[in-house]
Amino acid sequence: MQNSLKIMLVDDDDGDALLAKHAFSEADPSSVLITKTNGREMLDSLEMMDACELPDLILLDINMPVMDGMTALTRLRASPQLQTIPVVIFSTSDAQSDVADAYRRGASGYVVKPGSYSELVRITGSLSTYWAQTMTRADPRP
Amino acid sequence: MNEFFDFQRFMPHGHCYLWRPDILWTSVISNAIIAIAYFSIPFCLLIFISRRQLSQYAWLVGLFAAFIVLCGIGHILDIITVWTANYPAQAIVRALTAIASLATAVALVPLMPRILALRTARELEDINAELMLARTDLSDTIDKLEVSNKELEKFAFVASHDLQEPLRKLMIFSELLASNKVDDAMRDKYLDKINESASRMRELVKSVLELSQMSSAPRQLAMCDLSDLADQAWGNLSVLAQEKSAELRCDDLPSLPVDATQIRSLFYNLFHNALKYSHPERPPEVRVHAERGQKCWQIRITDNGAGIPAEYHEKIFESFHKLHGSSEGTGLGLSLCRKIAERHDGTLVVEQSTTDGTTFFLTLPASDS
Repeated sequence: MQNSLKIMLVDDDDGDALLAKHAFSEADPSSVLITKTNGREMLDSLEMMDACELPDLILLDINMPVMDGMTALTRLRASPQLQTIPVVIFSTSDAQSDVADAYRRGASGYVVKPGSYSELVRITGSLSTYWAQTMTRADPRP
Repeated sequence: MNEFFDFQRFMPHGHCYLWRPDILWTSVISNAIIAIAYFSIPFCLLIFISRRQLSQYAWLVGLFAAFIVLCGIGHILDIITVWTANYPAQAIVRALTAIASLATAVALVPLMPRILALRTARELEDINAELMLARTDLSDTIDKLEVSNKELEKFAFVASHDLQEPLRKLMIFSELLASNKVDDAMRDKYLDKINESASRMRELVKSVLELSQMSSAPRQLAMCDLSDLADQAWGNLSVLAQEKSAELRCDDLPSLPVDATQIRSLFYNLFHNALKYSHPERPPEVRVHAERGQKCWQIRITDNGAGIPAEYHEKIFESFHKLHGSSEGTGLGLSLCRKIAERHDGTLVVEQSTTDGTTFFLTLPASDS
């Protein structure tokens, strides 16, 4: 059984990717973070993966070149192989219209990029804990 | 007194007509018609006063009405005295009419300037027409202000969001550096990010300032060769142009009265976009071509870049609208270009855009038009 959280961060902003990497390594040192810079790159990469290689969680930005996050989310939810992957939108936008649109397209959660590093660590920590609890419930063996 | 009212000794007026029916009845009927007319005039005056809301002149109209009614009674008595010689009653009515007419005349003289100052119906119509025109103008201005306010609100919202983004990075990376949770190698990387964010913020503030100055600064027009301005703008991009093996093919452009700094900035922004968003499989090529129209010069700036989808042809001119994702550019370049064109009484639009490239269509007024 795989026991480390595998996250795919899709964000064209390399500063945010760097911060997320640092925060995940602090909150959950065993976690693995893969980064993609746009929706197209994310879908291409996921389609190439075997089922066991798929990430446990996708953190998806909205505004990106080539293919934006909302379009990528819609396509992912339409794909029989990929539709069950949890996707949390990770955006600077706190507009209600974006939040509603994200859930309408099948987002599992919506997180506004925080303004402090400690808040970012708290968010990544919560996501790791949630994933660990879900895995424990799914496989209760010690 | 009794003697005054005694009219038995008088002969009726009919005797003066020698009871000739033609004269008598002409006189009687005329007097009757005049009396009816006189009695109806006060009603017309009453309606006039109430409709025109001239209550301050009601007393004068009352006086005039009394005068007219007394005149009417006088004519009735003229009919009566044809057969009954009641001259005393006629004399009293005449006396009352004299008093009323004199009082009306005396009251009317000092009021004449004010009455003359009252607007005529034609003048009121003209004033009404002017007011309607002013109201339409005002309504147009309010509409424009509402649009402008909405744009300003949108600008403030987007500007604050775009300015907050580098600020957020500055804060987070600074916090991370201060926490001593980073090794030396990462420290340098994070410092670079702080520098990048600060530069981006400076770039944004500079662009916002440039855009706002465009609306407020007076135009400084001087005759300039547009070819020179295009060459200078391209020269400012020489490093990027060389890096991308880009080429500028600029035909002969006219000399026009323009603000050189602004038009150079317009060319710079369009050329910069052509280089930045060039097609990955071909070196960028920008062509500038001018044609004389009826009243203006039509300048086409064509690149061979990746093209702009049709639904974005207008949106790209909105402030902070970024076609190519969130992290590149300020989203103010094309907005600035359009403002520059408009400040020169010209226009700037996307004429056509395909996967083979984009043509921007700039018009500037001809100097002799």
